[in-house]
Amino acid sequence: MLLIPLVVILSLAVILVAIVVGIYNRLVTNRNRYQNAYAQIDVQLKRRYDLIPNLVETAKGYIAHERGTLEAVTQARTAAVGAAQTAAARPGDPGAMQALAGAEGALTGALGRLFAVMEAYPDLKANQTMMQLMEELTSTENRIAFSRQAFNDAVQAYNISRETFPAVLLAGMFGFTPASLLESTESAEERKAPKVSFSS
Amino acid sequence: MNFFEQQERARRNTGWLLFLFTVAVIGLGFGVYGATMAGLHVSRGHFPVSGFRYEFGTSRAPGYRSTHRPSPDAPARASVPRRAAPLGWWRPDIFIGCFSATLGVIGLASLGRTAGLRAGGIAVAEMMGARVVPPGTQEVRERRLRNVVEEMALAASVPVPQIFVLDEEGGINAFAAGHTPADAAIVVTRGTLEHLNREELQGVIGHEFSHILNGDMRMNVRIMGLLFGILVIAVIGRGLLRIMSFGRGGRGRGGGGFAAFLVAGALVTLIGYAGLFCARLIKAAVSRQREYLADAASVQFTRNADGIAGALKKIGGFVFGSQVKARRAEEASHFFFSDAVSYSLFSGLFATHPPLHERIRRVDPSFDGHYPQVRLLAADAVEDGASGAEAFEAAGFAPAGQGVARIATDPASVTRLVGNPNPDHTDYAAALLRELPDALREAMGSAFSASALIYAMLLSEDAAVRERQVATVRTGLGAEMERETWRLAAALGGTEARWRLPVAKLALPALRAMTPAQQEAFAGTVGALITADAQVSLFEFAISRTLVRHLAAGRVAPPRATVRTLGPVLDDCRTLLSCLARQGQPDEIGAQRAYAAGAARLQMPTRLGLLGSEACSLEATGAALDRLRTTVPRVREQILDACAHGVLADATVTLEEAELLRVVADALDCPLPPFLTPAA
Repeated sequence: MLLIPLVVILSLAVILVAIVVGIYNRLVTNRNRYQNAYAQIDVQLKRRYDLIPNLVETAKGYIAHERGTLEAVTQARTAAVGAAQTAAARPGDPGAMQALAGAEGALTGALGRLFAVMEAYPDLKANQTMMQLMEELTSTENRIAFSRQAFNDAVQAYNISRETFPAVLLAGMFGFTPASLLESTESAEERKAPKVSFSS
Repeated sequence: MNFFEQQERARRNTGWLLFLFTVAVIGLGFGVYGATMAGLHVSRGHFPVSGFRYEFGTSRAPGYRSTHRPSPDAPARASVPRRAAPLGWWRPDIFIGCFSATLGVIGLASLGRTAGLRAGGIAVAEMMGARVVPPGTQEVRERRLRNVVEEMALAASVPVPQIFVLDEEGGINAFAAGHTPADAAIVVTRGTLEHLNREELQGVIGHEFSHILNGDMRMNVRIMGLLFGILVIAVIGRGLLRIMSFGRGGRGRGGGGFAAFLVAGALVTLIGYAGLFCARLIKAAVSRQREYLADAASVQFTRNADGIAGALKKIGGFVFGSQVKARRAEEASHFFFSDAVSYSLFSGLFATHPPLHERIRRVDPSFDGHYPQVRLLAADAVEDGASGAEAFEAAGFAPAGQGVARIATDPASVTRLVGNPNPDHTDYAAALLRELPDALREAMGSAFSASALIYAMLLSEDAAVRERQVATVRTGLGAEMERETWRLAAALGGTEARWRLPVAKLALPALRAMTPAQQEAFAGTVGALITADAQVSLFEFAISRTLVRHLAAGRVAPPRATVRTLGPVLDDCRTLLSCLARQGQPDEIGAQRAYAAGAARLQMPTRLGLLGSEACSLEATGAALDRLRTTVPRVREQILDACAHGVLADATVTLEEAELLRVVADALDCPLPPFLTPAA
């Protein structure tokens, strides 16, 4: 007589366990995915930071008296390197992402002012090394923008999977905290998100 | 080792695996039934458990029921079953119930796990918590690992797998997971990165590539999915026991059912361990021999046995050995390079890998049983493998850039080469990588520039068409992408056919980092670029199809091989051979001859002759290739053999034609190593 309730309870228990395991696996996979997506950004960020000292050195040859502008760039770069390291250790963490976006924004601003100053020095602009560096810098920024799309997509997918029912009940218990997007730090140029359509 | 034979054997082994699994499930079904019956008997008091003398529905002394008044002449019996009929040991209804419950649980669990693993090797790696090694990484050791993997992938002509690292694991181990080479992932532990030198790393990666090439990987993923169902019973049993141990405090003496639960839990756990036993036996039966084969293949791919022998010896001498501590290690234990889970009692019988000293002795007969002390290699002890490229040149092969070279390859040897790179191929790949222009190499480090690189590769020679194509890129993807495409087109300009396929393969890891939406945009752009250029060659068409197919590999299931004979696909063979003949030969007579050479190998009936040029369109060829991919390996061997004869039979074979053959082979999922041109 006790067999039927026993079987029913066991089956329910098994199904419950299976559901929970499935949810956990999905959360782990999605979290891993955005963390790995961040790694792609991190590589390009490092490349960008490596280019900047060269840039400053080359510029110094021509505009040594614009010390303030050059200093600002170097300082902004150091701050950004620190923020990037923290972010790499904790991708998706809201505080880290915000700090990184802020530091990157400051660096972009400082670079922008440097380029504005350089406008008045055509020799500097025509310098081979400088042209190459600027080209690489632009390329790196484009890559960051592209990879950031992928990262943000992955973060959104994770957040959605975390917030839907029934995962939302378990996410806290398993320690899955919400992840934050990496905001755009570029100027209007980059914010013009390329539209993808082939209907034409 | 014939590649196609290996694939067939892998398919047969799958049948063997399913058979063993079925036997195990039936056995477990009986086991669960036995456990249930035992539990019922205990609860009826047939086997009184000390301290638990009880009967259903009463807490009074045994032998009494509240409503039962024993008649004076009926002897009082201490254990009276409530039911009129005795319980016995065979109850069909309970048997069916238990069996179906077991089947249901195992079936559901296995199905669920298999579905979860459907996304391929990358899903397995992500589930284990592995960190991806990005294509553009600058970290010295990771870059070295990337170089080794890329060389191996180019030599074997498979798509470059996604590379992962298990950061928390100090032991030396590695595995490759995935259904097909296109969705493969290679995972190494941090210990491997830190303690092995380049040669040993090459040995280990070669071993993993062997698994990728001969179908072991797919089998491993199947094992993981199926056996999860058996393992889950042990998990449930343990869970039951844990629940019971929590609940024991408040129960008092109320539960006859409680004891049944306890006994059932204990027995289910026992059965679960029986399941574990079965699972390990199955894994051992199916995967042990393969490890010897993979070790031998690794020696074949690289130039020496020292690499893999050294790696195995280091595992022997290392305090952590090859242990992997992650929770999931047991499930995936058969995947690993060496035993990932230490087996205490029955290690000989259930190890998924052969004993270490035996493996070493087979690759290095001079091994004396003495394992070296393993110290951490200094970071600057990393050298970047120039030796491969030099060995290549020393062996008398031409370095890259020797103009239009003549290939002298015997068509009959082509199918033997599939899936069997030799050390010359590996050295060639190393040389190729070293000579790849920096701009291109560097572009493969990120998804953005990698996709621009592919677009640049598809740009036409004709200036007007080129303008149209670039306009497509601009409207679809923005001005930055257009600028990058121009920049890389300039870098690509003048590179020959030999670079195209390697570049496409090397760009894959970066392209995989794109989101599905970005990948769709990529596929759309590629398609648009091709249709814009009416003059696109079969070569470019096939490369772009290959790329799109490899990218989709994680999401789209590979086609099942259903066609077992040539008969149903003869028309598609005709289309393919005609197209190859017309591509390779400018004139009608030459095309006829080439077609005849290929058709003869397939004993094609004479009514199926060379098709006219209008019938040899790219779409028709594409459709034919898709259908040909649904054939079994045996048949594909014949098809590839025919194509090889068609392309290589005549006296003058250019590098272009040879590369075209490789691209077609790739479209049929037959990895054909690069053609080596002897120095003139």
